[in-house]
Amino acid sequence: MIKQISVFLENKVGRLEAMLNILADAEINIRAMTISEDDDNGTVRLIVNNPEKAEEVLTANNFVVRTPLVIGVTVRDEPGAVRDALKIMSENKINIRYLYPLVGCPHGNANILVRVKDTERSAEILKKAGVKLFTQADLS
Amino acid sequence: MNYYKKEIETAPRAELEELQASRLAKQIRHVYDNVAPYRAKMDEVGVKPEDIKTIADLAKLPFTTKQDLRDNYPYGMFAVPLSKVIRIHASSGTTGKQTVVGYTQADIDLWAECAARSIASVGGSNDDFVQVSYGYGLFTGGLGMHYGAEKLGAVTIPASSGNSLRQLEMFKDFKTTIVCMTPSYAISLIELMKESGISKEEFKLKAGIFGAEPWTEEMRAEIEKGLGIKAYDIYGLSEILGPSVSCECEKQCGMHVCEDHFIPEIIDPDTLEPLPAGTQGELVFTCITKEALPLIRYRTRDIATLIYDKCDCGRTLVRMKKPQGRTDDMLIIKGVNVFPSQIESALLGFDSTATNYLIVVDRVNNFDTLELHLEIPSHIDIEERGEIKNYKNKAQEIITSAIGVGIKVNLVEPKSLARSMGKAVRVEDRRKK
Repeated sequence: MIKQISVFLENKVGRLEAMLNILADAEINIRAMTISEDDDNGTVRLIVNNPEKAEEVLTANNFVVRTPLVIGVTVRDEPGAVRDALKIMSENKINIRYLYPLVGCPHGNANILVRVKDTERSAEILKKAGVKLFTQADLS
Repeated sequence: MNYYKKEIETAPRAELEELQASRLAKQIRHVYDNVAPYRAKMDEVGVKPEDIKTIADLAKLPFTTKQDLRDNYPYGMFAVPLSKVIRIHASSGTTGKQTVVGYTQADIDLWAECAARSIASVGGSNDDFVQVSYGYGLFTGGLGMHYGAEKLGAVTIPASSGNSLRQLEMFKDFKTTIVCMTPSYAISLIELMKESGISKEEFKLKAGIFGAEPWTEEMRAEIEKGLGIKAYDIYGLSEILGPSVSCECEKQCGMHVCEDHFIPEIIDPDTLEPLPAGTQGELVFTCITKEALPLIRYRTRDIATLIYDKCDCGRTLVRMKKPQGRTDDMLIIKGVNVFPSQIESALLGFDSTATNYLIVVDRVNNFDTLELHLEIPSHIDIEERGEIKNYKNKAQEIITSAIGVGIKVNLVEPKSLARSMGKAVRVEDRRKK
Protein backbone atom coordinates (compact mmCIF):
# COMPACT_ATOMS: atom_id res chain seq x y z
CA MET A 1 0.00 0.00 0.00
CA ILE A 2 1.02 3.56 -0.60
CA LYS A 3 0.75 6.66 1.54
CA GLN A 4 -1.07 9.38 -0.35
CA ILE A 5 -0.59 13.04 0.52
CA SER A 6 -3.93 14.91 0.54
CA VAL A 7 -3.69 18.68 0.87
CA PHE A 8 -6.44 21.27 1.36
CA LEU A 9 -5.98 24.29 -0.89
CA GLU A 10 -7.95 27.40 -1.62
CA ASN A 11 -9.15 27.41 -5.20
CA LYS A 12 -7.30 30.55 -6.22
CA VAL A 13 -4.39 31.59 -8.38
CA GLY A 14 -0.99 30.70 -6.95
CA ARG A 15 -1.95 28.32 -4.14
CA LEU A 16 -1.00 25.16 -6.02
CA GLU A 17 2.30 26.75 -6.98
CA ALA A 18 2.94 27.74 -3.35
CA MET A 19 2.48 24.13 -2.31
CA LEU A 20 4.65 22.81 -5.15
CA ASN A 21 7.40 25.28 -4.21
CA ILE A 22 7.60 23.74 -0.76
CA LEU A 23 7.81 20.22 -2.18
CA ALA A 24 10.43 21.27 -4.74
CA ASP A 25 12.55 22.98 -2.09
CA ALA A 26 12.44 19.78 -0.05
CA GLU A 27 13.55 17.85 -3.16
CA ILE A 28 10.43 15.75 -3.25
CA ASN A 29 9.57 14.08 -6.52
CA ILE A 30 5.92 13.80 -7.54
CA ARG A 31 4.80 10.48 -9.05
CA ALA A 32 1.10 11.23 -9.44
CA MET A 33 -1.24 14.13 -8.81
CA THR A 34 -4.96 14.77 -9.03
CA ILE A 35 -7.27 17.53 -7.80
CA SER A 36 -10.86 17.37 -6.67
CA GLU A 37 -12.28 20.86 -6.46
CA ASP A 38 -15.25 22.99 -5.48
CA ASP A 39 -15.73 26.67 -6.34
CA ASP A 40 -13.72 27.95 -3.38
CA ASN A 41 -11.48 25.08 -2.29
CA GLY A 42 -10.02 21.80 -3.38
CA THR A 43 -8.17 18.74 -2.17
CA VAL A 44 -4.97 17.90 -4.01
CA ARG A 45 -3.89 14.26 -3.88
CA LEU A 46 -0.29 13.39 -4.47
CA ILE A 47 1.90 10.34 -4.63
CA VAL A 48 5.53 11.21 -3.92
CA ASN A 49 8.85 9.49 -3.46
CA ASN A 50 9.05 10.48 0.22
CA PRO A 51 5.59 10.91 1.80
CA GLU A 52 6.90 11.33 5.38
CA LYS A 53 9.05 14.28 4.41
CA ALA A 54 6.30 15.78 2.23
CA GLU A 55 3.86 15.62 5.15
CA GLU A 56 6.41 17.19 7.46
CA VAL A 57 7.32 20.18 5.26
CA LEU A 58 3.73 20.89 4.24
CA THR A 59 2.46 20.76 7.81
CA ALA A 60 5.29 23.02 8.93
CA ASN A 61 4.07 25.54 6.37
CA ASN A 62 0.51 25.51 7.77
CA PHE A 63 -1.06 23.32 5.09
CA VAL A 64 -3.75 20.90 6.22
CA VAL A 65 -2.50 17.44 5.28
CA ARG A 66 -4.03 13.98 5.54
CA THR A 67 -2.28 10.76 4.55
CA PRO A 68 -4.71 7.97 3.65
CA LEU A 69 -3.42 4.70 2.21
CA VAL A 70 -4.18 3.84 -1.39
CA ILE A 71 -3.62 0.68 -3.40
CA GLY A 72 -1.16 0.68 -6.29
CA VAL A 73 -2.31 -1.66 -9.05
CA THR A 74 -0.13 -2.65 -11.98
CA VAL A 75 -1.87 -3.91 -15.12
CA ARG A 76 -0.74 -4.80 -18.62
CA ASP A 77 -0.74 -1.91 -21.11
CA GLU A 78 -3.50 -3.40 -23.27
CA PRO A 79 -7.28 -3.16 -23.80
CA GLY A 80 -9.40 -4.62 -20.99
CA ALA A 81 -6.60 -4.83 -18.43
CA VAL A 82 -7.96 -2.21 -16.02
CA ARG A 83 -11.44 -3.70 -16.39
CA ASP A 84 -10.11 -7.14 -15.43
CA ALA A 85 -8.47 -5.82 -12.28
CA LEU A 86 -11.48 -3.81 -11.18
CA LYS A 87 -13.90 -6.61 -11.94
CA ILE A 88 -12.44 -8.51 -9.02
CA MET A 89 -13.26 -5.55 -6.80
CA SER A 90 -16.88 -5.29 -7.89
CA GLU A 91 -17.31 -9.04 -7.49
CA ASN A 92 -16.18 -8.56 -3.90
CA LYS A 93 -18.50 -5.57 -3.39
CA ILE A 94 -15.62 -3.13 -2.97
CA ASN A 95 -16.61 0.40 -3.94
CA ILE A 96 -13.94 2.55 -5.55
CA ARG A 97 -13.97 6.09 -4.25
CA TYR A 98 -11.59 7.41 -6.85
CA LEU A 99 -8.61 6.37 -8.90
CA TYR A 100 -5.93 8.07 -10.94
CA PRO A 101 -2.90 6.95 -12.94
CA LEU A 102 0.77 7.08 -12.04
CA VAL A 103 2.94 9.25 -14.25
CA GLY A 104 4.69 7.14 -16.90
CA CYS A 105 4.29 3.46 -17.78
CA PRO A 106 7.55 1.72 -16.78
CA HIS A 107 8.21 -1.83 -18.05
CA GLY A 108 5.34 -1.62 -20.52
CA ASN A 109 2.80 -1.71 -17.71
CA ALA A 110 0.10 0.77 -16.68
CA ASN A 111 -0.06 1.76 -13.02
CA ILE A 112 -3.12 3.09 -11.24
CA LEU A 113 -3.78 4.23 -7.71
CA VAL A 114 -7.07 3.20 -6.18
CA ARG A 115 -8.70 4.61 -3.06
CA VAL A 116 -11.25 2.39 -1.38
CA LYS A 117 -12.86 2.36 2.04
CA ASP A 118 -11.41 -0.88 3.36
CA THR A 119 -7.89 -0.61 1.98
CA GLU A 120 -6.23 -3.53 3.71
CA ARG A 121 -8.93 -6.09 2.99
CA SER A 122 -9.19 -4.94 -0.63
CA ALA A 123 -5.44 -5.24 -1.14
CA GLU A 124 -5.59 -8.80 0.22
CA ILE A 125 -8.41 -9.74 -2.13
CA LEU A 126 -6.58 -8.32 -5.15
CA LYS A 127 -3.36 -10.06 -4.20
CA LYS A 128 -5.12 -13.40 -3.77
CA ALA A 129 -6.74 -12.99 -7.18
CA GLY A 130 -3.28 -12.60 -8.68
CA VAL A 131 -3.42 -8.87 -9.38
CA LYS A 132 0.03 -7.30 -9.28
CA LEU A 133 0.35 -4.52 -6.69
CA PHE A 134 3.18 -2.03 -6.36
CA THR A 135 4.34 -0.44 -3.11
CA GLN A 136 6.01 2.69 -1.79
CA ALA A 137 9.40 1.00 -2.29
CA ASP A 138 8.77 0.95 -6.04
CA LEU A 139 8.38 4.74 -6.00
CA SER A 140 11.34 5.85 -3.90
CA MET B 1 -19.35 39.46 47.23
CA ASN B 2 -16.38 41.62 46.53
CA TYR B 3 -16.85 45.40 46.24
CA TYR B 4 -14.43 48.26 45.86
CA LYS B 5 -16.80 51.01 46.97
CA LYS B 6 -19.78 49.26 48.50
CA GLU B 7 -21.65 52.37 49.69
CA ILE B 8 -22.00 53.62 46.10
CA GLU B 9 -22.28 50.27 44.37
CA THR B 10 -25.17 49.15 46.57
CA ALA B 11 -26.76 52.55 47.28
CA PRO B 12 -30.57 52.74 47.22
CA ARG B 13 -31.78 54.00 43.83
CA ALA B 14 -33.33 57.18 45.23
CA GLU B 15 -30.10 58.16 46.95
CA LEU B 16 -28.11 57.50 43.81
CA GLU B 17 -30.47 59.55 41.67
CA GLU B 18 -30.25 62.44 44.10
CA LEU B 19 -26.48 62.37 43.79
CA GLN B 20 -26.71 62.14 40.00
CA ALA B 21 -29.10 65.09 39.79
CA SER B 22 -26.90 67.40 41.83
CA ARG B 23 -23.78 66.38 39.90
CA LEU B 24 -25.61 66.79 36.60
CA ALA B 25 -26.76 70.32 37.40
CA LYS B 26 -23.24 71.32 38.39
CA GLN B 27 -21.75 69.69 35.32
CA ILE B 28 -24.11 71.41 32.88
CA ARG B 29 -23.13 74.76 34.36
CA HIS B 30 -19.44 73.86 33.97
CA VAL B 31 -19.90 72.78 30.35
CA TYR B 32 -22.07 75.76 29.41
CA ASP B 33 -19.51 78.16 30.83
CA ASN B 34 -16.43 76.48 29.37
CA VAL B 35 -17.23 74.60 26.14
CA ALA B 36 -18.17 77.03 23.38
CA PRO B 37 -19.47 74.45 20.88
CA TYR B 38 -21.78 72.93 23.49
CA ARG B 39 -22.95 76.35 24.70
CA ALA B 40 -23.91 77.14 21.09
CA LYS B 41 -25.91 73.86 20.88
CA MET B 42 -27.77 74.67 24.11
CA ASP B 43 -28.48 78.22 23.01
CA GLU B 44 -29.80 76.90 19.74
CA VAL B 45 -32.50 74.86 21.49
CA GLY B 46 -33.00 77.50 24.15
CA VAL B 47 -31.89 75.50 27.21
CA LYS B 48 -30.12 77.27 30.07
CA PRO B 49 -28.06 75.55 32.78
CA GLU B 50 -30.66 76.53 35.39
CA ASP B 51 -33.28 74.47 33.50
CA ILE B 52 -31.44 71.28 34.42
CA LYS B 53 -32.33 70.20 37.95
CA THR B 54 -33.35 66.53 37.79
CA ILE B 55 -32.37 63.51 35.76
CA ALA B 56 -35.59 63.83 33.78
CA ASP B 57 -34.32 67.21 32.59
CA LEU B 58 -31.57 65.39 30.68
CA ALA B 59 -33.99 64.91 27.79
CA LYS B 60 -33.99 68.69 27.22
CA LEU B 61 -30.29 68.70 26.38
CA PRO B 62 -28.79 68.39 22.90
CA PHE B 63 -26.72 65.34 21.97
CA THR B 64 -22.99 65.19 21.35
CA THR B 65 -21.62 62.99 18.59
CA LYS B 66 -18.25 61.81 17.36
CA GLN B 67 -18.59 64.40 14.61
CA ASP B 68 -18.51 67.16 17.26
CA LEU B 69 -15.16 65.81 18.45
CA ARG B 70 -13.87 65.71 14.89
CA ASP B 71 -15.11 69.20 14.10
CA ASN B 72 -13.37 70.53 17.21
CA TYR B 73 -10.23 68.41 16.82
CA PRO B 74 -8.04 68.25 18.78
CA TYR B 75 -8.90 70.21 21.94
CA GLY B 76 -11.99 72.29 21.08
CA MET B 77 -14.40 70.32 23.32
CA PHE B 78 -12.17 70.47 26.41
CA ALA B 79 -13.80 72.19 29.39
CA VAL B 80 -10.62 73.13 31.27
CA PRO B 81 -7.50 75.06 30.31
CA LEU B 82 -4.81 72.79 28.85
CA SER B 83 -2.63 73.58 31.86
CA LYS B 84 -5.02 71.39 33.90
CA VAL B 85 -4.88 68.51 31.43
CA ILE B 86 -2.32 65.87 32.39
CA ARG B 87 -3.01 63.15 29.83
CA ILE B 88 -4.48 62.64 26.42
CA HIS B 89 -5.57 59.49 24.62
CA ALA B 90 -6.85 59.04 21.11
CA SER B 91 -9.46 56.76 19.64
CA SER B 92 -8.34 54.04 17.28
CA GLY B 93 -9.93 55.90 14.38
CA THR B 94 -11.49 52.69 13.03
CA THR B 95 -14.58 54.55 11.85
CA GLY B 96 -12.96 57.71 10.51
CA LYS B 97 -10.52 60.38 11.61
CA GLN B 98 -9.14 59.81 15.08
CA THR B 99 -10.44 61.82 18.01
CA VAL B 100 -8.52 63.09 21.00
CA VAL B 101 -9.68 62.94 24.60
CA GLY B 102 -8.15 64.59 27.68
CA TYR B 103 -8.00 64.01 31.43
CA THR B 104 -7.25 66.15 34.48
CA GLN B 105 -5.68 64.61 37.58
CA ALA B 106 -9.16 64.18 39.05
CA ASP B 107 -10.30 62.46 35.85
CA ILE B 108 -7.40 60.03 35.98
CA ASP B 109 -8.21 59.34 39.63
CA LEU B 110 -11.87 58.63 38.97
CA TRP B 111 -10.96 56.44 36.01
CA ALA B 112 -8.57 54.44 38.19
CA GLU B 113 -11.36 54.03 40.71
CA CYS B 114 -13.84 52.82 38.10
CA ALA B 115 -11.26 50.35 36.77
CA ALA B 116 -10.47 49.18 40.33
CA ARG B 117 -14.20 48.62 40.86
CA SER B 118 -14.31 46.56 37.67
CA ILE B 119 -11.47 44.32 38.78
CA ALA B 120 -12.99 43.99 42.26
CA SER B 121 -16.39 43.14 40.80
CA VAL B 122 -14.94 40.05 39.11
CA GLY B 123 -13.45 38.99 42.44
CA GLY B 124 -10.10 40.77 42.30
CA SER B 125 -8.24 42.18 45.30
CA ASN B 126 -4.76 43.27 46.37
CA ASP B 127 -3.86 39.57 46.53
CA ASP B 128 -4.19 39.26 42.76
CA PHE B 129 -1.69 39.44 39.92
CA VAL B 130 -3.31 41.42 37.13
CA GLN B 131 -1.74 41.10 33.69
CA VAL B 132 -2.78 43.97 31.46
CA SER B 133 -2.48 42.74 27.88
CA TYR B 134 -4.31 45.55 26.20
CA GLY B 135 -2.10 47.77 24.11
CA TYR B 136 -0.40 50.58 26.04
CA GLY B 137 -0.33 53.92 24.30
CA LEU B 138 -2.92 56.25 22.84
CA PHE B 139 -5.46 53.43 23.13
CA THR B 140 -7.14 53.67 26.54
CA GLY B 141 -7.21 49.92 27.22
CA GLY B 142 -3.71 49.39 28.58
CA LEU B 143 -3.20 52.41 30.81
CA GLY B 144 -6.85 52.41 31.91
CA MET B 145 -6.74 48.92 33.39
CA HIS B 146 -3.16 49.47 34.59
CA TYR B 147 -4.14 52.36 36.88
CA GLY B 148 -7.15 50.41 38.09
CA ALA B 149 -5.08 47.38 39.02
CA GLU B 150 -2.59 49.58 40.87
CA LYS B 151 -5.35 51.46 42.67
CA LEU B 152 -6.75 48.13 43.85
CA GLY B 153 -3.29 47.26 45.14
CA ALA B 154 -2.90 44.20 42.93
CA VAL B 155 0.46 43.20 41.50
CA THR B 156 0.17 44.93 38.15
CA ILE B 157 1.89 43.34 35.15
CA PRO B 158 2.08 45.83 32.26
CA ALA B 159 2.40 43.20 29.53
CA SER B 160 0.76 45.24 26.76
CA SER B 161 -0.37 43.31 23.70
CA GLY B 162 1.72 41.28 21.29
CA ASN B 163 4.59 38.81 21.64
CA SER B 164 2.12 36.03 22.29
CA LEU B 165 4.48 33.33 23.51
CA ARG B 166 5.88 35.78 26.04
CA GLN B 167 2.31 36.48 27.22
CA LEU B 168 1.92 32.78 28.02
CA GLU B 169 5.30 32.71 29.78
CA MET B 170 4.19 35.65 31.91
CA PHE B 171 1.00 33.79 32.87
CA LYS B 172 3.21 30.98 34.07
CA ASP B 173 6.22 32.79 35.58
CA PHE B 174 4.47 35.78 37.14
CA LYS B 175 1.56 33.66 38.44
CA THR B 176 -1.03 35.87 36.78
CA THR B 177 -4.50 35.39 38.28
CA ILE B 178 -6.50 37.96 36.31
CA VAL B 179 -5.90 38.95 32.73
CA CYS B 180 -7.25 41.94 30.80
CA MET B 181 -7.23 41.78 26.99
CA THR B 182 -9.44 41.78 23.92
CA PRO B 183 -11.50 38.59 23.53
CA SER B 184 -10.08 37.96 20.06
CA TYR B 185 -6.55 38.10 21.46
CA ALA B 186 -7.56 35.55 24.11
CA ILE B 187 -8.82 33.25 21.37
CA SER B 188 -5.55 33.57 19.47
CA LEU B 189 -3.56 32.81 22.65
CA ILE B 190 -5.65 29.67 23.20
CA GLU B 191 -4.83 28.64 19.64
CA LEU B 192 -1.14 29.22 20.35
CA MET B 193 -1.34 27.14 23.53
CA LYS B 194 -2.67 24.20 21.50
CA GLU B 195 0.07 24.59 18.90
CA SER B 196 2.90 24.86 21.40
CA GLY B 197 1.58 22.22 23.78
CA ILE B 198 1.08 24.60 26.71
CA SER B 199 -1.66 23.48 29.07
CA LYS B 200 -3.95 25.77 31.09
CA GLU B 201 -3.04 23.69 34.15
CA GLU B 202 0.36 25.41 34.07
CA PHE B 203 -1.37 28.73 34.88
CA LYS B 204 -2.92 30.17 38.03
CA LEU B 205 -5.46 32.20 36.05
CA LYS B 206 -8.92 32.51 37.60
CA ALA B 207 -10.59 35.37 35.77
CA GLY B 208 -10.29 37.49 32.67
CA ILE B 209 -11.74 40.89 31.82
CA PHE B 210 -12.39 41.20 28.12
CA GLY B 211 -13.50 44.20 26.14
CA ALA B 212 -12.80 46.82 23.48
CA GLU B 213 -14.76 44.87 20.87
CA PRO B 214 -18.07 43.03 20.68
CA TRP B 215 -17.98 39.33 21.50
CA THR B 216 -20.50 36.58 21.90
CA GLU B 217 -21.57 34.07 24.55
CA GLU B 218 -20.06 31.36 22.36
CA MET B 219 -16.68 33.11 22.51
CA ARG B 220 -17.08 33.44 26.27
CA ALA B 221 -17.55 29.69 26.58
CA GLU B 222 -14.54 29.09 24.34
CA ILE B 223 -12.31 31.41 26.41
CA GLU B 224 -13.51 30.03 29.75
CA LYS B 225 -12.77 26.49 28.61
CA GLY B 226 -9.49 27.32 26.88
CA LEU B 227 -7.94 29.28 29.74
CA GLY B 228 -9.78 27.58 32.61
CA ILE B 229 -11.19 30.88 33.91
CA LYS B 230 -14.37 32.88 34.31
CA ALA B 231 -14.56 35.42 31.51
CA TYR B 232 -16.12 38.82 32.18
CA ASP B 233 -17.24 41.55 29.85
CA ILE B 234 -16.10 45.13 30.31
CA TYR B 235 -17.28 48.18 28.42
CA GLY B 236 -15.89 51.58 27.78
CA LEU B 237 -15.07 54.12 25.15
CA SER B 238 -12.40 56.76 25.15
CA GLU B 239 -14.84 59.63 24.60
CA ILE B 240 -16.53 58.83 27.90
CA LEU B 241 -13.59 57.42 29.86
CA GLY B 242 -11.97 54.26 28.50
CA PRO B 243 -12.49 50.73 29.82
CA SER B 244 -14.63 50.35 32.98
CA VAL B 245 -17.53 52.67 32.20
CA SER B 246 -19.30 49.41 33.02
CA CYS B 247 -18.19 45.90 33.89
CA GLU B 248 -19.79 42.59 34.73
CA CYS B 249 -19.90 41.25 38.27
CA GLU B 250 -19.40 37.63 39.30
CA LYS B 251 -23.01 36.88 38.29
CA GLN B 252 -22.17 37.51 34.61
CA CYS B 253 -25.59 38.97 33.85
CA GLY B 254 -24.89 42.40 32.42
CA MET B 255 -22.36 45.14 33.05
CA HIS B 256 -22.90 47.49 36.01
CA VAL B 257 -22.50 51.11 34.93
CA CYS B 258 -20.53 53.44 37.23
CA GLU B 259 -23.67 55.54 37.51
CA ASP B 260 -22.25 57.94 40.05
CA HIS B 261 -20.03 59.18 37.20
CA PHE B 262 -22.01 58.45 34.05
CA ILE B 263 -25.74 58.56 33.40
CA PRO B 264 -26.79 56.11 30.70
CA GLU B 265 -29.84 56.47 28.48
CA ILE B 266 -31.25 54.38 25.65
CA ILE B 267 -32.64 56.28 22.68
CA ASP B 268 -34.21 55.43 19.37
CA PRO B 269 -31.37 56.19 16.92
CA ASP B 270 -33.85 57.42 14.30
CA THR B 271 -36.27 59.58 16.32
CA LEU B 272 -33.68 60.36 19.07
CA GLU B 273 -36.46 59.89 21.67
CA PRO B 274 -35.52 58.23 24.97
CA LEU B 275 -36.81 54.64 25.17
CA PRO B 276 -38.28 52.94 28.26
CA ALA B 277 -36.10 50.74 30.47
CA GLY B 278 -35.53 47.28 29.03
CA THR B 279 -35.88 48.38 25.41
CA GLN B 280 -33.02 47.91 22.99
CA GLY B 281 -31.67 51.07 21.42
CA GLU B 282 -28.67 53.34 21.08
CA LEU B 283 -26.71 53.87 24.24
CA VAL B 284 -26.08 57.47 25.30
CA PHE B 285 -23.88 58.64 28.18
CA THR B 286 -23.60 61.88 30.12
CA CYS B 287 -20.43 62.43 32.15
CA ILE B 288 -21.39 64.04 35.46
CA THR B 289 -18.04 64.18 37.22
CA LYS B 290 -15.36 64.41 34.56
CA GLU B 291 -13.58 67.74 34.22
CA ALA B 292 -11.52 67.85 31.02
CA LEU B 293 -13.92 66.29 28.54
CA PRO B 294 -17.36 66.09 30.12
CA LEU B 295 -19.44 64.97 27.17
CA ILE B 296 -23.17 65.46 27.53
CA ARG B 297 -25.61 62.94 26.02
CA TYR B 298 -22.86 61.43 23.93
CA ARG B 299 -24.22 59.04 21.31
CA THR B 300 -22.07 55.91 21.53
CA ARG B 301 -23.55 54.23 18.40
CA ASP B 302 -23.63 51.04 20.46
CA ILE B 303 -26.91 49.14 20.54
CA ALA B 304 -27.67 47.94 24.07
CA THR B 305 -30.35 47.47 26.74
CA LEU B 306 -30.47 48.76 30.34
CA ILE B 307 -31.72 46.60 33.20
CA TYR B 308 -32.66 48.37 36.44
CA ASP B 309 -33.60 45.28 38.52
CA LYS B 310 -31.39 44.67 41.52
CA CYS B 311 -28.63 42.21 40.73
CA ASP B 312 -27.99 39.06 42.77
CA CYS B 313 -24.54 40.44 43.54
CA GLY B 314 -26.17 43.15 45.67
CA ARG B 315 -25.26 46.04 43.38
CA THR B 316 -28.00 48.51 42.61
CA LEU B 317 -26.08 50.08 39.73
CA VAL B 318 -27.92 49.63 36.43
CA ARG B 319 -26.77 46.78 34.22
CA MET B 320 -26.08 47.13 30.51
CA LYS B 321 -26.86 44.15 28.36
CA LYS B 322 -24.02 43.47 25.98
CA PRO B 323 -23.96 45.80 23.02
CA GLN B 324 -25.53 43.95 20.12
CA GLY B 325 -23.25 45.76 17.73
CA ARG B 326 -22.66 49.34 16.72
CA THR B 327 -24.88 51.39 14.52
CA ASP B 328 -21.56 52.13 12.75
CA ASP B 329 -20.83 48.42 12.26
CA MET B 330 -24.26 47.63 10.94
CA LEU B 331 -24.12 46.39 7.38
CA ILE B 332 -27.00 46.92 5.02
CA ILE B 333 -27.02 43.95 2.66
CA LYS B 334 -29.69 43.99 -0.03
CA GLY B 335 -31.65 46.33 2.23
CA VAL B 336 -31.43 44.05 5.27
CA ASN B 337 -29.71 45.28 8.45
CA VAL B 338 -27.03 42.84 9.52
CA PHE B 339 -24.74 43.09 12.54
CA PRO B 340 -21.46 41.20 12.27
CA SER B 341 -22.10 39.95 15.83
CA GLN B 342 -25.20 38.08 14.59
CA ILE B 343 -23.09 36.28 12.03
CA GLU B 344 -20.47 35.40 14.60
CA SER B 345 -23.03 34.18 17.08
CA ALA B 346 -24.70 31.90 14.52
CA LEU B 347 -21.34 30.59 13.32
CA LEU B 348 -20.00 29.80 16.78
CA GLY B 349 -23.33 28.26 17.76
CA PHE B 350 -22.90 25.90 14.83
CA ASP B 351 -19.20 25.21 15.43
CA SER B 352 -17.45 26.64 18.47
CA THR B 353 -14.05 25.97 16.89
CA ALA B 354 -14.79 28.25 13.93
CA THR B 355 -13.05 31.26 15.42
CA ASN B 356 -10.98 32.69 12.58
CA TYR B 357 -13.12 34.33 9.98
CA LEU B 358 -13.58 37.45 7.89
CA ILE B 359 -16.88 38.82 6.65
CA VAL B 360 -16.53 40.20 3.13
CA VAL B 361 -19.17 42.43 1.60
CA ASP B 362 -18.96 43.41 -2.03
CA ARG B 363 -21.12 44.61 -4.88
CA VAL B 364 -21.11 42.59 -8.08
CA ASN B 365 -23.24 43.77 -11.01
CA ASN B 366 -25.11 46.11 -8.65
CA PHE B 367 -25.97 43.28 -6.28
CA ASP B 368 -24.63 43.13 -2.75
CA THR B 369 -22.74 39.95 -1.98
CA LEU B 370 -22.01 38.64 1.49
CA GLU B 371 -19.30 36.09 2.10
CA LEU B 372 -17.78 34.53 5.15
CA HIS B 373 -14.18 33.48 4.74
CA LEU B 374 -13.54 30.86 7.35
CA GLU B 375 -10.26 29.14 8.11
CA ILE B 376 -11.06 25.46 7.79
CA PRO B 377 -11.46 24.01 11.31
CA SER B 378 -9.03 21.20 12.07
CA HIS B 379 -11.75 18.66 12.83
CA ILE B 380 -12.80 18.52 9.17
CA ASP B 381 -11.28 15.62 7.25
CA ILE B 382 -10.12 17.35 4.09
CA GLU B 383 -9.80 13.97 2.36
CA GLU B 384 -13.60 13.69 2.57
CA ARG B 385 -14.89 16.11 -0.04
CA GLY B 386 -18.46 15.34 1.03
CA GLU B 387 -17.71 16.37 4.60
CA ILE B 388 -16.28 19.71 3.43
CA LYS B 389 -19.33 20.38 1.29
CA ASN B 390 -21.80 19.42 4.03
CA TYR B 391 -20.03 21.64 6.52
CA LYS B 392 -20.17 24.62 4.16
CA ASN B 393 -23.81 24.08 3.29
CA LYS B 394 -24.83 23.68 6.90
CA ALA B 395 -22.93 26.81 7.98
CA GLN B 396 -24.48 28.78 5.13
CA GLU B 397 -27.95 27.58 6.04
CA ILE B 398 -27.64 28.39 9.74
CA ILE B 399 -26.16 31.85 9.26
CA THR B 400 -28.59 32.73 6.48
CA SER B 401 -31.56 31.86 8.64
CA ALA B 402 -30.10 33.84 11.57
CA ILE B 403 -29.56 37.06 9.61
CA GLY B 404 -32.28 36.85 7.00
CA VAL B 405 -30.02 37.36 4.03
CA GLY B 406 -28.03 34.87 1.99
CA ILE B 407 -24.38 34.31 2.86
CA LYS B 408 -21.78 32.28 1.03
CA VAL B 409 -19.21 30.46 3.13
CA ASN B 410 -15.75 30.02 1.66
CA LEU B 411 -13.33 27.75 3.45
CA VAL B 412 -9.80 29.11 3.41
CA GLU B 413 -6.45 27.70 4.49
CA PRO B 414 -5.36 27.86 8.14
CA LYS B 415 -3.38 30.99 9.11
CA SER B 416 -4.38 32.72 5.88
CA LEU B 417 -6.39 35.42 7.68
CA ALA B 418 -4.59 38.13 9.65
CA ARG B 419 -4.36 37.57 13.43
CA SER B 420 -5.26 40.38 15.81
CA MET B 421 -3.39 41.53 18.86
CA GLY B 422 -5.86 44.29 19.61
CA LYS B 423 -9.25 44.84 18.08
CA ALA B 424 -9.98 42.16 15.50
CA VAL B 425 -10.84 43.27 12.01
CA ARG B 426 -13.71 40.99 11.10
CA VAL B 427 -15.40 42.87 8.29
CA GLU B 428 -14.14 44.00 4.93
CA ASP B 429 -16.67 46.12 3.06
CA ARG B 430 -15.34 46.44 -0.47
CA ARG B 431 -18.36 48.46 -1.60
CA LYS B 432 -16.88 51.60 -0.06
CA LYS B 433 -14.03 51.79 -2.54
